[in-house]
Amino acid sequence: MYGCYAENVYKEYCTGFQFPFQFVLNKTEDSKQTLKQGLPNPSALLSSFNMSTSTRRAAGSSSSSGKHVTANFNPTSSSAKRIQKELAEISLDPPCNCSAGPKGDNLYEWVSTITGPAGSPYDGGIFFLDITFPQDYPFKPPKIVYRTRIYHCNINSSGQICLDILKDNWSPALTISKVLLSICSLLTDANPHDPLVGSIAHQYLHNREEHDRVAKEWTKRYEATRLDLSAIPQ
Amino acid sequence: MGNDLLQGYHSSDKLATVQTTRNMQSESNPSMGDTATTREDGEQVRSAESVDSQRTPDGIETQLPETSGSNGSQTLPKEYEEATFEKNAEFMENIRKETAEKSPLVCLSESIDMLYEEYRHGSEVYRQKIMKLKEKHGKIRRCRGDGNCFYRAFGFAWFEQLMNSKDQNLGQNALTALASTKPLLDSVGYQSLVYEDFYEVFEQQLKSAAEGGLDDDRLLSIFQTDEISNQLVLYLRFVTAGYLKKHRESYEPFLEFDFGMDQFCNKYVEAMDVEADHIHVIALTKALKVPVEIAYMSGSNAMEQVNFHEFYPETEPTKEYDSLKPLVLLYRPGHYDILYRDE
Repeated sequence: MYGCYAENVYKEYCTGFQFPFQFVLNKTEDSKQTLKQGLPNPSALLSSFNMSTSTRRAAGSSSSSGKHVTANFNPTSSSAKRIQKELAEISLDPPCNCSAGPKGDNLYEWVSTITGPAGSPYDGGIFFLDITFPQDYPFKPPKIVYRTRIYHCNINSSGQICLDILKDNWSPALTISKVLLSICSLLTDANPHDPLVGSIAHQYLHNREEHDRVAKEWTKRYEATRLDLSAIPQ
Repeated sequence: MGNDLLQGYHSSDKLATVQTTRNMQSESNPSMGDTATTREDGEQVRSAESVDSQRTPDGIETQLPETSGSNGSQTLPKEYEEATFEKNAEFMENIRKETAEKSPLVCLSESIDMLYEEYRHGSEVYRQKIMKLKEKHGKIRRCRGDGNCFYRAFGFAWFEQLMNSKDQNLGQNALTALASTKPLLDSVGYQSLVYEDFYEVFEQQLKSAAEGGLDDDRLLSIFQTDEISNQLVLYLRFVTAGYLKKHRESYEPFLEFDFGMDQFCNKYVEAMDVEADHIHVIALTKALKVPVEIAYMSGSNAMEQVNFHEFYPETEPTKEYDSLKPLVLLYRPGHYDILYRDE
């Protein structure tokens, strides 16, 4: 059962990451083949994702209109229109260390990767995040959770992020691109004075060396799976 | 696209659902829910919950605590605040639904006597003031107290003025003013993708109001339809924020909060359901060049006196604005409605 769960989750991410291919080049067959051939290692996935974004960039302005997205959603919905625009923006000009795009054909469910910023204890790690846009986006903030375990005082074991702009400081003038940038900068500069995990914050303030060591260790340990398996009973 | 949205709202049976405000009044529940629906954290929830106990039996609304950057929650453990945020959101949603059942976003206009009725067993001061108001203002149109009432009242009154005006220039000026907001927003660093959808909707509706494409029923249905109504409100919020940011050196000194204009705009202007203050009114009237007069009605003891505050786009009334009739709004603590001056 354990394996089955992992595989399903893994597949979910794989399809998620090949979606941009499908999205840009309509190479549905390719992605299916990749799945059949077995699961590629995550860094290959990531590079394929990055490649697809650069292909998009090369494709020029035609892709920025985002008109060729044919996912299942109500085309008159203003939230869908907005999300499409943000997708075009983030694909053309992704924020540093981040990439994001729809998981499947649902425009409201995205997956994102963040690479640990150099100089932080998360350097070299690749973190998966799930993004869920509400139907009344951008009136309400998107929901974002880490799907990779991370040792950080503002992110708890179920991946929830303590970030003001995701809650009561949300403004419709923000975009997912800006939000991801904030999440990234949280990796470089944690906010131990407004922690979600008190013990880690305490350690961050009083024993920074040990904190960084553990954070590095976690980054390495969970890099092997890059999946949130915390939900599975031990 | 906007037309698609509105299809079905134009049919007469849909318009039959246009609600009057009788229900709301008869319950002697002012539900000027602005304060209750402001986006605050735990502390605000408690104050919102205590609204019930603050309501006097005769329906006088008591002034609720002002929205302010509460520091109280800082001391709460984060896990606790987590729960509070979710709980808070749920609580707000419930309030929203409750008020939505009682009152549409914008109501039909009604005689100001109805307002008097509301205070029949209430404050003498209010009754006196309403009688005073009645001398020149025969009608009132209520807006839902959801924190957006100023913007919605402003928008509705503006569209209605354009719709009913025979002066072609008025519509043209309005469209020019609206068009000027785009460069304004660009100049203060808004990405076009965050506002252009709302701009398009606003422009389309303003155009049809100015060019005679709207009538009373259609205008009302536009402002009563959640999606489109909120898009109009949000654009007005962006314009307000854009103007404040553009003229930050003039307005920053007036901020009560210890943070700068950007943060103020983010938290108290752009965000939906957060009520407007004096500074917002000034900014919006100047940005869109629409004069507004607001009747301030409070329970203070200055008997029979309703103070009118004039917000004119220019400090010195110019020729251009002399001919322009101001929109008239009624302010009671925490809430705005539309007033109609007798011709």
